[in-house]
Amino acid sequence: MPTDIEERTRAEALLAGERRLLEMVASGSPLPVVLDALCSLVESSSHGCHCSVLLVDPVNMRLQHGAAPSLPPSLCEAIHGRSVVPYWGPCAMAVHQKTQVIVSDVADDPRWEPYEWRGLTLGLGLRSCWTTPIFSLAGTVLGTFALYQQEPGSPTPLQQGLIGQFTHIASIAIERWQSEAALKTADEALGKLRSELAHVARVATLGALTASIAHEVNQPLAGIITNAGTCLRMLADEPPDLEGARETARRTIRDGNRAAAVIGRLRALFTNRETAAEPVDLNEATREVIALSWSEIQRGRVLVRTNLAADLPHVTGDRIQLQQVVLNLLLNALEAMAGVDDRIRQLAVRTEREGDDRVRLTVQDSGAGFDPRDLDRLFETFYTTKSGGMGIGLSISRSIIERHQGRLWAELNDGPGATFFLSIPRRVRGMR
Amino acid sequence: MTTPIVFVVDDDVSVRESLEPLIRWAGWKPETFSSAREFLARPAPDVPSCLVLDVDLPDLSGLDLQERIAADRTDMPILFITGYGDIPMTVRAMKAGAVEFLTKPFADGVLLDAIRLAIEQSRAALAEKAEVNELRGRYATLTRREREVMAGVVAGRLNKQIAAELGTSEITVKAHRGRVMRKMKAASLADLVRSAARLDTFV
Repeated sequence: MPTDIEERTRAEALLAGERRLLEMVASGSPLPVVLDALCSLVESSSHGCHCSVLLVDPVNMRLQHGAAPSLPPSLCEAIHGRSVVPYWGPCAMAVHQKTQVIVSDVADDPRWEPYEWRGLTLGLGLRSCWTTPIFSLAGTVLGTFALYQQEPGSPTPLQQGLIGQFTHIASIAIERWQSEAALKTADEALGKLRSELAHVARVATLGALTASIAHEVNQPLAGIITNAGTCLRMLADEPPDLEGARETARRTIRDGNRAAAVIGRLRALFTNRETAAEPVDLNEATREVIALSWSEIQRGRVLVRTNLAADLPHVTGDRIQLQQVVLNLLLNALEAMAGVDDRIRQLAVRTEREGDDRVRLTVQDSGAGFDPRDLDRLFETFYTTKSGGMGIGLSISRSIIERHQGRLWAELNDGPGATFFLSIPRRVRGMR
Repeated sequence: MTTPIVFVVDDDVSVRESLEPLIRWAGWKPETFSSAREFLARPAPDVPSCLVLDVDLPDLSGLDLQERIAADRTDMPILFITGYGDIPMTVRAMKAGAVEFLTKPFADGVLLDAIRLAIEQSRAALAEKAEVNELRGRYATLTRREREVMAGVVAGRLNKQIAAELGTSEITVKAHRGRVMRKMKAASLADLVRSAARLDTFV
C-alpha cells in the first residue's frame, strides 16, 4: 500500500508530466513524439503497464500505429493497417462499438479465440488488455488508448481515472495535429490556385496581345520570304548573281534571329515559374515591356512619353513578375483610352526614387478614368469594366507587388484619365 | 535616266532591307524611308514611280498619308502592305484608289506584278500630264479673239452665229478659225473638241 507521501509525489509527478505534454502540444511538437511521451508517462506512473495509442484513418476505417514505446514491434506491425472490421483485437472493437473494451484474461476470453491477436499477445507474456476509444470534440473516434498488463485483471478506479485523463490529453493532441495538417493542405492548395490564377491572367494578357505578337513576328517573316524569293531570282539570272544571292542569305539569317528573339522575349514573359529574387533594373524592364507592346500602342494611336530616372537604383525582386505588372498597367491604360476621340491619347510612364530606399513607377493615361467610388474595388478579383475582361489583372498585380512588400494604388487625374502608382522597397526581406 | 522609282515607306528594318535588292533586281530604282514625314520631305520625281506603303507607321498612318497626297500625286499609285490586315482597312484603302493591298508575309512575285502595273499606270499618267501641258502651251499662244472663236467652234456654232455674237464678219471668224486650228495643231474639228475637253479638265 503506497504511503501518503509516495502517493502525493506520484500525483505531483503525474501533474507535471501532463503539463509537459500539453506544452508539447501547444508548441507544435510532432504527434508521434507527443504520443510517445504520453505512453511513457503513463507507464512510469503505473508499474507493469504497457501503453499503446492507435490512430484511426477515418476515410478507410483502418487502424494506424500511434505510439507504443514498450511494446515489441511485432505486435505494432501486426496491427498497423488493419481494417477495423472484422475485429482482430479489442482495439478494433472499441473503435467500432465506441466503448471501452476490457479483456481481463486474454487466455480465457472467448471473443478473441479466432484471432491472431490472442496468440501474439500471450506469446509476448501479456495477459490483460484494457482499451478505450479516444473521442474528438464532435464525438467521432480518433483512435484508442490501450493498457496491457502481464497479469490478468481489470482496471482499478485509480487506473480508470488515469485512463480518462490520458485519453483526454491524447484527444487534444490528435485533434490539434489533424487541424494543422488540414491547414497545411489548404495553404498549399491556395498557393497552387494563386499560381494558376496568375498563369491564367498571363494567358489572358497573351490573348490580348495576339495581334501585336503576330504583327511583330510577321515583320521578320516577311523579310525572310522576300529575301528567299530574291535569292532564287538572282540565281536564275544569266549569269547568276552569286554575291547578291549570298547577301540575301545573310539577311535571311538576320531576320530569322530577329523572329527568334521576339518569341524568346514572349516565352520569358509568359512561362509559369517560381518567384525569383534578384536585382532588377526597373527602367530596363519597363523599356522592354513598352517595346513588346509597341504594335498595340501604334494601333491605338497613343503618344507615349517616358521619363525614366537615370539614377534609379536596382530593386530586389522577380523581374518577370514585375514586368507582368507593368504590362498589365500599360494594357489597361491603352484600353481606357480606346474610346477617346476628342483629345490626344497620351500615356506617360515614369520612374523615380522614392525616399532613400524605395522606387516608384507611375503609369498615367488620358482615358475614360473610373468612378471614384470604385477606387477600392478596382483591385478586387473579378472586378472589371471591360466587356471581355476577366478582372484578374489588377488583383494579381497587387498581390505580386504585395509579395514584393510594395504598394499598388490608383488616383484620378486633375484632367482626364487616371494614374496608377507602384512603389516597392529596394531590398525585400524574406520574399515568399 | 528614266528608270522608274519605287518608294518604300515601312518602319520595319527587315522589310525595308529585303525589298531593296528585290526592286533593284527587277530593274527599278528603290528609295526607302522609315516614316511618312521622311517620305513627304522628298520632292516628287518626274519619272514614273509608285509607293509601297506600310499601313501602321509610327507618325502618320498609311491611310492618312494616302488621303494627304491623293490630290497632287496622281502619277504615283500606292500599294499597301500590312502586318495586320483587317477587312475595313482594306476596303477603305482600295476605295481611295490603292492599286493593291498585301498582308505580310507576301509572295515576292505578287508584289512585283503589282509594282509593274503601278509603274505602267504612272507612265500613262505622266504622259497624259505632258500632253496636257503641251496643249496648254499652245492655247497660251492664242489671242483673246482666237480663244473666243475657239469656244464658239467647239460649242458647235456656225461661223455665221459666232460672227453675230462677236459683232464681226463671217470672213474674220473664218480667218481666226484657221489660225486656231494651226496653233492648236488640230487635224480636224473633232480633234479640236477633244483638245478643248482635255484643257477643261485640267484648268
